[in-house]
Amino acid sequence: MSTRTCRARCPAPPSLRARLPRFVGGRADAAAALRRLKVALVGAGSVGRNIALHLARFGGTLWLADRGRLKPESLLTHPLTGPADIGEPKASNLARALRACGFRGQLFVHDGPVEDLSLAAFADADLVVLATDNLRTELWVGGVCLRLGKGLVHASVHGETLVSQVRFFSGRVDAGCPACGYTKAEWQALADQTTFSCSGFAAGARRAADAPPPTMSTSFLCSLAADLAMTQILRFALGLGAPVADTFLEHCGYTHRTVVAPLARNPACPCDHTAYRQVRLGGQLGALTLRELTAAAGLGPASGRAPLSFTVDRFAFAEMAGCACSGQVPLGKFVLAGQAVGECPKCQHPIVAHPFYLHRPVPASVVEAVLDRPLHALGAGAARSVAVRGDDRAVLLLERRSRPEGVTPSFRTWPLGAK
Amino acid sequence: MESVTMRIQDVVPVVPQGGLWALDKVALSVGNQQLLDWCAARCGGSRSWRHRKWAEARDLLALSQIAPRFKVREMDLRETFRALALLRVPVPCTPDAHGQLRVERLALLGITYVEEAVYEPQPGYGFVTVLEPSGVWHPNVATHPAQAVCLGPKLPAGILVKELVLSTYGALSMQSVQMDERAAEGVLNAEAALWWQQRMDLVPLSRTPFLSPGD
Repeated sequence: MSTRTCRARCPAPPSLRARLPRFVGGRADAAAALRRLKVALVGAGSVGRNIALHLARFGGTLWLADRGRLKPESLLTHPLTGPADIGEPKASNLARALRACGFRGQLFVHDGPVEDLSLAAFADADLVVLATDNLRTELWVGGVCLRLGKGLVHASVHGETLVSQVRFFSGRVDAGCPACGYTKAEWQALADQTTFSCSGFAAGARRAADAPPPTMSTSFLCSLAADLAMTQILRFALGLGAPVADTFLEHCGYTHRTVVAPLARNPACPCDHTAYRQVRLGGQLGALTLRELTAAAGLGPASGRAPLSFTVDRFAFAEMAGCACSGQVPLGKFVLAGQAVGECPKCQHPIVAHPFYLHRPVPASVVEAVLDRPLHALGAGAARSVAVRGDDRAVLLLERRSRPEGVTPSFRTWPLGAK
Repeated sequence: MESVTMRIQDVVPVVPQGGLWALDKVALSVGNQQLLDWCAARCGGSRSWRHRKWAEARDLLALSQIAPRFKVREMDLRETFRALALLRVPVPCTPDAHGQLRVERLALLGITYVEEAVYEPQPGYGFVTVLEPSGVWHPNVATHPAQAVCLGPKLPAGILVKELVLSTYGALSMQSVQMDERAAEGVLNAEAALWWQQRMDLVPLSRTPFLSPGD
């Protein structure tokens, strides 16, 4: 059924209670609990679209992110798509389809690499669902969930063996992450999938042009993986049955056997498993100084000698810039990748942040001279999150009220009635 | 950045059995051990990242003891691994008005190693920049001001810092160079690539192995 057909057939949504059963051992207010559920979905492909459709029927809050566009082949496995949708960004197209089917909850969309977003973009979600074959994205999202202590549901398929898998990571600091279970073959696949172009250097970014192979599967195997994922999400949200956190669930279509196994942390996992305590501040972070932010994080007092570091949203601190006339010139401000940083005072030519002197995170000793200057005076007025890290503790500072998209990429609201 | 005045003396190195893969067998000099201890006391990040940075730093200092052409000047392990190092290597610089190539004998390198490089492949231009001399004229070195060295289209996850140093030596001395200006990977200065294609007789600038004390 295409988006347009669906729009014609689906008027206002009925109440969830009209069909929601009283689950055995479940709570009486299940419908309300599901409506409160806030889920960020990364990957709006053949598995992700099915999950989104089910989540939309709960009526909660959804964030959708996908870097891809619909191709003619997408019609073979992606629900709610038709020939007219080919070429559209997947996340926006899905958002439109969900609205057309009567979804009235809050909806946010990001058409681009999820790695462009800051930690703040996921701070309000209760759960993150990952439905992508991109291993680099998997690693990145796994890291975000560990830092924020968010549960992560990863749904995937292996078409050749009719296998559907759902891994549910609790996000606890002592629990596993996607990388904890990587085999040698998966690390090799990550290496094979990642390519770079020298144009990335020109853009001032370490941007990888990932080339994961397309999902080779059938539409029904993808929807089966989505259904299994939804069952786990439901059990998690309503506390049904044995806890699903930190479990691996696999169904094989050849044998119809289901395997459930625990997921554990791998002590040799190379990824950072540090959890960030979240603190929400009134007003804009850009108006505060790094010293004030350190105090707000409870990690103060800040000084150049303190073993502290700062990660200011997507910004890097440029200690020096480079110019053809005079080599390196001091800069001392936060910049975004590829951002012009001004003109050389001597020759008036554009100067660029020197990669050797770019810091992200930036140690307190590097920013000692500017600890008392507000972020907006240092070029990071648009920051929505600041991570302050000490020896053994890390705190993520966020604004109490979310702001619309600024200079750093973020989810954009998809209002009711949006085209 | 202050100018490079340090001289690297020609001394016969004591290479451990096992060569560059046995740097952990090299006992650090007092000065290098003090530098390592000073950096380690300020080392930040997760436990595994701190451990990795310490191991890389130790390797780099050991390398500087067995390779007379290489000297570590500064190191920073607070967040991203950073090192300022001197490398005695022929560095091709912008030809003069008569088309005569200028070759400097010493490079000041800025080496950075981000935490993600431990487990994810990184772009070949993401690790090393030539801070001095300026005006490097090389197909795989970006033009001023950044002068990043491209060591390949993609460097494997977990690559060792000592391997970056060796690759940089190979690249700057043009023992290993990508000159096809049409290739999307490797060439950061297409003009220099075209120039060098006409002067292949000058390539490489040196055939001396990295550990050899000579030029």
